[in-house]
Amino acid sequence: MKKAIIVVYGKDRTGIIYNVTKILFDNNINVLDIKQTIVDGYFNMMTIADVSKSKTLNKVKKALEEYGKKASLSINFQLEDAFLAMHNL
Amino acid sequence: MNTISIEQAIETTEMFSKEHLDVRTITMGISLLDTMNSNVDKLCKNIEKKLLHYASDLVKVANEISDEYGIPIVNKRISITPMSIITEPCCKKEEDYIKVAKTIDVVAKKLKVDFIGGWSAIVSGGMTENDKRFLNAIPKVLSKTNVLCSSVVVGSTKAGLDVDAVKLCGKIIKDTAKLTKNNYSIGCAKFVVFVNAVEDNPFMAGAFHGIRQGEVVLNVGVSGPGVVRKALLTAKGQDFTTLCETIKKIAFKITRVGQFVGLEASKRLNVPFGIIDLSLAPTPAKGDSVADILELIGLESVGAPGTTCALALLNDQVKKGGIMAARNVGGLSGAFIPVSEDQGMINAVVKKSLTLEKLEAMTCVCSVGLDMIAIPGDTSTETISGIIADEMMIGIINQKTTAVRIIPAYGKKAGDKVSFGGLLGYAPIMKVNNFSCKEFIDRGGHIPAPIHSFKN
Repeated sequence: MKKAIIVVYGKDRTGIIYNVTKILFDNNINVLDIKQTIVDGYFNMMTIADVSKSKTLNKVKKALEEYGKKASLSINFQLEDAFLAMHNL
Repeated sequence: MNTISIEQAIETTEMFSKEHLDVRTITMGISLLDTMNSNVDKLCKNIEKKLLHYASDLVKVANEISDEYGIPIVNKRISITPMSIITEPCCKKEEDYIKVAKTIDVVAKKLKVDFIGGWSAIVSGGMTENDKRFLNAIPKVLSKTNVLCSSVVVGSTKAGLDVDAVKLCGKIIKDTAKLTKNNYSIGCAKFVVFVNAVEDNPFMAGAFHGIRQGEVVLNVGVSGPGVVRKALLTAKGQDFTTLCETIKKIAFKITRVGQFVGLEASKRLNVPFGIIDLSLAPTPAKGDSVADILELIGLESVGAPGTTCALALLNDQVKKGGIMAARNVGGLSGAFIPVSEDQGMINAVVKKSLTLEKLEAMTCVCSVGLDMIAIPGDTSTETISGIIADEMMIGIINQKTTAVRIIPAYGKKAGDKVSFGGLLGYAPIMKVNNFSCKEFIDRGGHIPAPIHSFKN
């Protein structure tokens, strides 16, 4: 399974999870796990998603970036392998 | 199953997006031994064929990996067998060398690599007639090429120091500065003098593919001064044990990314993975500075007492953390202290905190040497050779690599500024001690290997 990690952080507002997961849904990406915290009004979310079936990964990146800009959020979409390499022995 | 916590995910993301973490270079080492020929034109053809055969997809694959994983790969480079060996059977005149060099330069540009290194000669034990011809042609070669980098290895702990070569290198640097005067003497930024050079170095200008290496190999240089700096903010006011532990941990993480990228590229290009070079290589970008790290350790400005100690511990912890994280470590591995490529170093020179003499002391404990230092254009050839001799002996006696990449900027004097652009940055012209060492350098000959090299 090819997985991606989507990290979202910034000032909390309504609809963040809705908008991010909608972009994923539109591109045939299945969400496997969502973790989120809110500290001092700042929203942090990490989504792990199965991207094996998506053929439009570049489109996802762009769509997430655009939404990030519009909602003043930092959104990063990266394949999972680099995270695993960095944080696991 | 391996899982990532939300904190770890954010940490990684921020390293790339805010702290300039990148893979500084993917360097493909290619052996050119089988391209040798007694005819210059045939040699050029063979070289072109071989480079295109192995490196055609290098830039494409690196860009793909970079896009897919969100990891910037700043430079794509090639290193080749030291060309003094390859050119020996056919190059008898200066024009012959220029022809071969231009061929390599053109192919490298066709492959879209940033640099190609290996216009090199290893003369630690003395120079052959061919070596002398090759060395004498270097200034012209550097002035007529753009991405070709050159190096000369003038000594080693095992072989001692070839002072004749040191003397000649002073002249090469002066001549190159003059020939490239219209471009801030930039030719000198593509030329390094070494002792104890490593054969798997992915960094320029000193990379070459040593003759003891295999047919083709992929080496990776990681970077990340900005990431180390951020980590050190959390260790403010803590003792040295805690400080060292913090650097070690972050070096581990940086290295893992490099190793991941290297393995992935090696798989996609079907080329064996060589080594990770664990280097903290700064760039002129704000926050991506080794000097900033040293100052964060507790110095008002780089160059202040304590600087050498801080650099030594930084270098050592980077190695300790990195070695644990990587399969094979090699190259230069440590902290680079180039002046022009590091905004913090530039600032320290401008406010007269950092001098050439302090930099020389720092090179005893850093991974390379006097790097990207601009000096007055009228500095004498002998003085440049003297600076090289001092730096080389530091390496020989301490059994480490040392190097000199120095730019006597034509027509400039101390306090002026030269700008090289891109990763090479800009440099304030540093003051040089001009008391003569002519009689010393003019002795020529060879300084024997030090006593501790006799281990058999």
